[in-house]
Order: sequence, then C-alpha cells, then structure tokens
Amino acid sequence: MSKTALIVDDSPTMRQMVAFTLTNAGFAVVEAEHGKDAVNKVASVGKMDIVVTDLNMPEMDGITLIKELRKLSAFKFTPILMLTTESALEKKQAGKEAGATGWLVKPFNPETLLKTIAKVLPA
Amino acid sequence: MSDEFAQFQEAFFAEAAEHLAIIEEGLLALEQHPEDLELLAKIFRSAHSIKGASGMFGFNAVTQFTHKMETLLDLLRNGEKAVSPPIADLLLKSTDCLKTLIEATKTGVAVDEETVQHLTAALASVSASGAQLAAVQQKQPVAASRQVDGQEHRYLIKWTPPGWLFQRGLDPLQVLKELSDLGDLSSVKLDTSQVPDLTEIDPEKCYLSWELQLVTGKDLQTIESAFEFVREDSKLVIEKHETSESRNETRFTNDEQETEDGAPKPLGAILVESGVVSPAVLEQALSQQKRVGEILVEQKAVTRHQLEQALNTQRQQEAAVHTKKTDTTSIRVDTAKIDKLINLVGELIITQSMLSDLGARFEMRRLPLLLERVAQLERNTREIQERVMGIRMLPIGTAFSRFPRLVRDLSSKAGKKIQLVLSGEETELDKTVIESIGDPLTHLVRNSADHGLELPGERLDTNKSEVGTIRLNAFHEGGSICITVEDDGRGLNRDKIVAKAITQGLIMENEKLADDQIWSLIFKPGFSTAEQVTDVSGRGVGMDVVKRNIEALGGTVSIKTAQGTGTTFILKLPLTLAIIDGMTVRVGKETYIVPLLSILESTQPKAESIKTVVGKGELIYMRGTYIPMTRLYEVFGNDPDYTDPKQAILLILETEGERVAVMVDEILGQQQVVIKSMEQNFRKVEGIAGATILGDGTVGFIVDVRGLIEIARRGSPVAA
Repeated sequence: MSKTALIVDDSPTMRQMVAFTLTNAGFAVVEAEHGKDAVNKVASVGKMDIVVTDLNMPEMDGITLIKELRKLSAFKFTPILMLTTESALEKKQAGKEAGATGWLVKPFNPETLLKTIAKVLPA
Repeated sequence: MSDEFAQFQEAFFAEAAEHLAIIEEGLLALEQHPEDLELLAKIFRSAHSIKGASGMFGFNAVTQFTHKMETLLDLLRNGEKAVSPPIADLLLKSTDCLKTLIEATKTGVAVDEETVQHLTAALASVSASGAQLAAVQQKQPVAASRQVDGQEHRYLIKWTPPGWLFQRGLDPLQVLKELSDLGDLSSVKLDTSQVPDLTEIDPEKCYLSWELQLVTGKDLQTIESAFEFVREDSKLVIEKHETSESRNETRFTNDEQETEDGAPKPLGAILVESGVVSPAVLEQALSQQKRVGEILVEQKAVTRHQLEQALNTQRQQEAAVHTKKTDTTSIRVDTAKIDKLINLVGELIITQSMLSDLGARFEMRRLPLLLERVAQLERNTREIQERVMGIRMLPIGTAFSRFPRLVRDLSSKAGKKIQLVLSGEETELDKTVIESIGDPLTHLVRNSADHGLELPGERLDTNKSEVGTIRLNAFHEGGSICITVEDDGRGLNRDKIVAKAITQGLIMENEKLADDQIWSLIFKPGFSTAEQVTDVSGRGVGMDVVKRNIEALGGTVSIKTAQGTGTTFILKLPLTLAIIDGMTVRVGKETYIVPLLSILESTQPKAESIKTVVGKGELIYMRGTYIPMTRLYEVFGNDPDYTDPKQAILLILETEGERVAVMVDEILGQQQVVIKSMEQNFRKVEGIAGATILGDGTVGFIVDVRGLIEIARRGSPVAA
C-alpha cells in the first residue's frame, strides 16, 4: 500500500510541484486549495499518512487547519509539515503550538522536501 | 532552482499574472476603503504566493522584490501602518515593477535596474524597520552533508524532548533513526526515571530522555539538524569528545543561534546587524552602484556614442526575443470542462461501436435505425465541437482588469473625474481574441477619457454630474460578441470632423455625407480633432489602428454618438477565429465561401448601372456611389454559367470601409466553416483567405475580401 499525503496550498503551482514530487516518490496524493477544502476532503478520505500545508491561505489558514486536524482522532499523531517563507519565529512558533510536526522553508527543492518528510514519517 | 520543477514554470507565470491582477485590483479598491483588512489580507496573500513560488524557480530578483512589498503589506495588514495615498501609489508602482520583473524572467529581457533599485529603497524606507533587512537575504539550502575534516569524532548527546512531543506528531524513534544514519550510534541509554506511576500517566505525554553516543565524521550542525523540529523545545546537549586532540566542544542548542545554516551573510547585512550602518544608508549605497556601461565610459574605454549603439543593439535583440517568446502560450482550463469532454468522447465511442455493429450486419429494413444512429453521431459531434471551442473560451474580465488602473491614471493626468463601470466581465470569448482585443480597447478607453469626457467645470456648466462615466460592457449577440465602450461626454462634433477632413483632403468641401460616414472618418489614418495634442492621445494614431486590429480579428467597429450626451463605440467580434459564418456561393462548378460579416447586400444590377471606366475596370452605380466590380470567374479562372452581370448575382462586400462588388453565379446558402490555412497546407494565393472542407467532402475556398478589393483596384485578374 502506498502512503498517502494531503497537500494544502492555495497556489496551484506550489501544489502541483509538491504533488509531482510526492507522486514520483510513490505517494498517493490528495490536493486541497485551502484549509476548509482540506477539512472537507479529510472528512471523506479519513486517514492520511502525512499532511503538507501552506500557512497563508484564504478561507482557512494553515495554523487553523492544523488545530482542526489535531482535534480529529485520525490526525492526532499524523505528521504535519508546514510550508513557510517566513523565517520569522512567530509563525513557526504559532504553527508548533497548533501542533505542526515540522516545517519547510520555501524555496526548497524536491530533495529537501523528501528528506524532511523522511524525517517525520516512519518508514 | 531545480530542473525537475522547470516544467511548472508556465503554470507559475499564469498564476503570477492572476495574482498581479488581484494585487492591482485590490490596491485600487484599497484607495476607496483604506480600512479594509480583508482586502489587505487578500493582497498580502497574492504577494506571498508570488514570492513563494518564484523562490522555487530561483527567480531571485522577483523573490526579493516581492519580499519588500510583502514586508510593507504585512505592516499595513497588521495595522502597524495606515494606508495613505503615497503608500498606495508606491505599492501600485511596485506592482508594475514586479510585473516587468516577472516578464523579464519569462523573456530574458533586461529590466530597468534603476527603477527596481529605486522602488526597493522606497519600499524599505517606508517599511523602515531595521530588523527586516536580515531576512531579505534568501537562505541557502542546508548542505546535505558537511564534512569537516573527514575525521570521525565521538559525540555525547543528552536529549530530553518536550512532553508534548507526540501531540505534534513527532516520533523520537525517527530522530534516533536519523542519527544512526549519520554514523555509528554506539550506545543508547534510555532514561525512564521521569515516568510517573501508572495511575498518573498521561499516555499522550513523553516522559523519556536519552543519552546517546554517536561516532561520526559529520559535523555538529548536521547532527543538530536531526533535532531540527524539536531542538528549540528540548533540553539538548551535544558534546564532542576529541579522540586525537584534547579540545572539548560543547554546544547548547537552546542558545541564541547565528545564521541558521552557517552560510556567510552579505557584507551589507552584517554591517546593518552590527549597527555600523542603518538599512537606509545601505540601500542608498547599493542604489549608487553603477552599471557597467557607465563605468566603461568613465574610464574612457568606450565613447558614449559607442555605448548608445551597443545599448540599441541590445534593445533590438531583446525585442526580437520578446516577440518570439510570447508566441508560445499555454491555457489554463477548468478541469470540469475537461471531465465533460471526456464524457462526451465516451459517448462518441459508444455511438461509433453501435454504428460499426450495425454496419457489420446491415439489412435494408434496418435503415431507420441507421438514420437514428447517424443523428446521434451528429449530436455527439456537435456537442464535442462546442465543448472543445469552450476550452479556448475565457471570460473577458481578464482583458477588462487593466482598465481600473488605466482610468485612474488617466483621470489624474487629465485633471478629470472619471468613474469606470464594468459589466459583462463573465462573457466568454476566444483566448486569441481576448489577447488581441486589449490594445484596441485601451485606445478606445483612452480616447473616451481624453477626448470624450469634459473637464469637471465644463460638465457642471452643461448640467452634468461632475464625474464622467466610462462604461465597458460585453455581451453575446447572435453568434458574435459585442463589446461597447461608452462615455457620457460631449459626443462627436460633426462640424469639427468635417472641417478637419476637408483640410486633410479626406473629403471634398461640398460632399454630402451621412452621419455614419462622417463618424467613420475618425478611423482614417492620421485623423485627430483634438485641438491640443496631450500626453494621452490626440496624436492621430490609434483609431485607425483600432479599426485595423478589430478587422484583422474578423470584427467590426461602429459608432453611436449624440452631441452633448456621449459616444459609444461598438465592437462586434466573432466568438472564435477558427470558425466563421460564411455564405456559400457558386461560380461554375466551384464553391466559394464569403465571410458573412463582410456582406452588405446582394443584387442583380440593371444594365444602366454598369459602367466601364478606362483604366479602372467595371463599376456599379449603387445608392449614389460607384463601386468597383470584380468577376470572380476572371479572378480564379473558372468556367461560369453567366458572363453577363445582369443575369449573375452581385455581392456587395465591405471591409475597412472600402467596398467591392463581386460577381457570382448563385448563392447556395449560409453555413459555419472551419478555416484551414492555405499557407500551411499549400501556399498563399491572392484573393483567398483559406480553405475549408464542405459537407460533400470537397474543398471550398474562403475568399479574402481585402485581397479582392486590391484586385479590383488593379483592374486586372491574377493568374490563379
């Protein structure tokens, strides 16, 4: 069974690139445009092995999404990576407090993305 | 950044364009509602998206510039700064600059560094907080494995993770695994002393700590990176036990960090951080950096003239590259449209298999069934045709979106108060048409703002509201799209136009002209009635170009105007360029298609209305004017049914205001035809715009009205 990944980003380009990388790495990928979309999709797919989410998004931002996901029993311990351009500490801190497992600073290359995922996702 | 991502660049440019439009629109709206935080958040998000994605492709200039904008937007969004007109103005200018920067990465054209530097400095000084500067520099990605000296060292690691470790989806085993990948994890001691009694235990909390020994050739930073997501909250001590030297290096990672990845900082950033210079001073110093041309001139290595020449060459090359690159474009299609299409193809396949099944065992009595199936096939095909066309269809709003900004700039330049009203933005039309319609529309809007609308004082004198209105509207009408540009200004002045046309020798002094004919004079090259040539318009270029562009798209322009109440320009455009509405006509055995839009009327002339003029060929006298006549069979060398115009049929065609009468044997009917290019499949033939496959499978030629007029003017047929 291939591992499943949920990608949440309002930028289609970013989403496609992350999805492309993960699909090539053997993940089954679900894409969502923003937090709300992700919450809805999660409701129908149930469990995911990893979540990669942007922070700044319309409708529902990444921090809120992480909080919402952590409320669900299926996502209580799921690794969640946040994509951030802000090296600013508050964002990272807010994300961590919301329950983000780790972060990835944009720009990143496919290699870094996969490495970071390997860091938090048990093989 | 990565070649693997290069294939997404096209998508990035499309997305960036959308974000730029959102930013611009947002900024303009912001001027009306400076307190709208929702709006600010939206603008910020778009800037943020551009920054994030551009970084992924290594478009550093774009990333850095957007970062500056984002910094300011962030301050506005958080209410730390209020939106003021100068700030809005600066942001709008920056948006323009960003646009050119993005365009530059796409086409490789050099950007005007001065503007970029100037705006960067301005943005920085408005944001004016020193702490921001350090963050500008993009971080280099952490080098995967940084060998220090190739020597192996023994590290003692004491790690107590935070209690909430599990709640963030972190797994301490993952960290240990990563460490063991770095080298030899020779000893792992688990400390369970903090684990409480079973009754008090919180299963979601981590009470454990570890003492590890790691032998590795990797350096301290690489080891630390294993703890990346937890180290700020963990108690972590990493001690290096030198095997050869007696130097002990201890690292407490909760300490304040230096540059996160050890990459050297730019000199400027270090100077700013240490407080030697202020960010503003640094920006200014950077902006004084000279360009290579100027330095060479100063050193007398080249003369200014030589430099100018070289720059000119560069610009030409850039322009050449630019035009070449813009030709290849992609299109973003709603996935729902594609899904629908796939469904339809599915239906088509079903119909096809039913037909081949029927064909394999066909008997005459099953004819009704065959006809039914064929009708079904026809339905499928038609629907697929419509849907495929739909893929090329985009809402015209994308072409309209530039106008709020344009009108704002025009109104401040001309000292007029103008409001722009857009409607019908959702009307869909062909992508090519949308792309080509932008410039003509810009001309028309400029014209309305500059010539059409009066100054506020003049408006008040004539009992109008001080604020002039320009309306842009788009809607479907029949098989075509109508776009109207309407102003409530002074309207076209008949006397002025006539006077001007006479001095320019366009018409005779005593010529009697209908209103429509007079209005169409403004489309003549070089015509302008503006008494004063302004910065915006009135140079007499424009309206003729508008007409030419619209007609190149197979459309028409007409004018409705009333003195004192305003002018409306009406553009009629075909839905798509690939299919035209045509009138099929017959000459001998050949079938030709005449574009429906160019047909004014058809007639059978009387003997007395046909005149022959030496050197000008045949003319037809109709409704008070003479129209040159062309016999289609002579042009294309057919064998016609009739050689006498009184028995044949004359089609009166018009394009770009010129008319021609074309003689054919018979009008067959009206139908939509798909245009096939002659140049691509054969070669260019004068008088023929393209070819199409007719219902019976034969080829029909689409006549080129412009070409026929040329032929009629020469008065001699071409050898075809």
